[in-house]
Amino acid sequence: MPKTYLSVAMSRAWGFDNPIGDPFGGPAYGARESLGLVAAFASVAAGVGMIGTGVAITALGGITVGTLVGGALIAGGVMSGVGTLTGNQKLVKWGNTLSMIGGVATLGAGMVGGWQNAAAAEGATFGSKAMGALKGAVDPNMIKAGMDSVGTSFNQFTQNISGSFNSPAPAPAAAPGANISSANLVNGGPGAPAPQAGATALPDANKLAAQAKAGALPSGTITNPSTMPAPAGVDPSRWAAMNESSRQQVLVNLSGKSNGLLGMSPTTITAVGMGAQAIGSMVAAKANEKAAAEQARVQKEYNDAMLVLNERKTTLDETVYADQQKRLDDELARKMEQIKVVSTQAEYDALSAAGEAAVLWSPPAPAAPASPRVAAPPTKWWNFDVRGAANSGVVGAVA
Amino acid sequence: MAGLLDIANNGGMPDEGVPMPEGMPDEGVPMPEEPMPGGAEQDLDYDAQLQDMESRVPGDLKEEWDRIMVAGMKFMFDKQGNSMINKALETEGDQAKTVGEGCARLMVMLFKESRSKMSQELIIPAGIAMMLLLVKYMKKARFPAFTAADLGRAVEIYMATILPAFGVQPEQFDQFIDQQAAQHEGR
Repeated sequence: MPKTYLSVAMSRAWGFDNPIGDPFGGPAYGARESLGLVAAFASVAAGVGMIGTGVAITALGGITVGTLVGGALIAGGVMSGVGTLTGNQKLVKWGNTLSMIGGVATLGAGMVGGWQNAAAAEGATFGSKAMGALKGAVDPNMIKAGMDSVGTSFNQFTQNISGSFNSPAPAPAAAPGANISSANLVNGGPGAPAPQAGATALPDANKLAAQAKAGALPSGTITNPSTMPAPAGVDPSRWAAMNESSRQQVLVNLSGKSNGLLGMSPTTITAVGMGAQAIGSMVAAKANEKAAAEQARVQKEYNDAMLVLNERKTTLDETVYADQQKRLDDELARKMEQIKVVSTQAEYDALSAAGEAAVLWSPPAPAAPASPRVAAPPTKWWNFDVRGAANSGVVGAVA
Repeated sequence: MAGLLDIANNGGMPDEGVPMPEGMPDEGVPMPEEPMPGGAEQDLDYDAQLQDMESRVPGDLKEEWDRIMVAGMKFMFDKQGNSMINKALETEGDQAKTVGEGCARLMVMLFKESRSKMSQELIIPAGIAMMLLLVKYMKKARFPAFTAADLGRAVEIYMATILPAFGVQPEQFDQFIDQQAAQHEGR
């Protein structure tokens, strides 16, 4: 595999902004201390104290620890999988909860549809399926939103239970599009953030029901939230698809939770509510289809790249490297042919007198020199590395 | 990052070659064929787990994730460090503790080496990913039997070690999980 090596100066320059490793090659960042690190890894006796000396706990504690915990969302599926496989209940619980938080947090951020929430709930309910819970929310941007949410939540939690952290927890940021959270819509959840400017506000289901009972339900109340702009980093088309999915799920939720609404609302609302399940399924299937296609495309790109790399490697092996090796072998053989190997001192002396290169294989014991004596060639220096009589072989090349 | 997984497939030596095409037998030490101690214990699909975790890494952290993984793997598998790691793993004792605490130390050292620039979001998942790579390597290299149950315990030990290093007590984490679980179950 071809490598790009950076000069020392460039490596240092890069090191300021990218302190972990040179992605193109060379030693990873900190390799100069690798022995110390490996020793630390290897030394069980080092215990936690080793970590304590490495990181100032007081400097870290309470400032962004929520971020640390939020990052656990990424590992939630693995924890769940390992826990389920090994019967480790603690891991199962961690994994399931983290997966569930991931699913709900991303839903709360208004970026996934209800079908993904359902997937998360399913995963949380059935331990071994928890890994699949986030599969519907596999968009890393959504995970990021979930991580932020959990980080904030954890910081608040730690403040609430102990108040031990010096710095105040950051104020919970209003999640983009949080106003379309199904939790807020259906339950009118407390603390639901106010709609963002320019966003289309959706009504509370309870309020809708009350309005319906009072005969005051306006038609066309349920509006399309897809008018909201996609958050940074989210594919607008996917955003739109998911908003549509959310909208459909909202309709499903409304139809399921508010029978009164169905009975008293205008026909159009009833019809939409009854058909919402089917539409939601179709949207979900479509989104799954799209995700599967995207996954297949990425996999194909990866496979293609690997094929190219393999071809290049094969080409290198068969041409450049093979050719280089052959030339080296030929050169070595040619040099070796020039060297006379003799076993007696008399022959060696004779060749030396004639100015030819020679190696004395069996020097007279015990006063023989450690390195072979070589008759000085007339025009060149010859360097030999002879591994003693026991090995009986010249292993070095001729310079 | 998929390349890193392939490095791990390739005997754990980052500088060795390119991943074999699909369908080709994996070079190097074959996977143990004998059943794992403890009877019909099922093994984990390490590659699938790693890929699953990688797929969840947010885009803006992807490059950093790769760097962390490269740095960690170099520490674990390069010629200089590998022999010492091997020695540590061959030592009699609680392997789960060695792996769990070792990976925690690795992550803390990498964090320190990064002059605290490493994103903390990646500390827990990257450490677990290192652990999976290490355990996969142990399986291939036929280290003394390291069961799936050991891996579970190693993850637990890792969490119990890494959290306090960053100012979070394991009890806090447990309480948080309990609270979240109760909260979400109530929805």
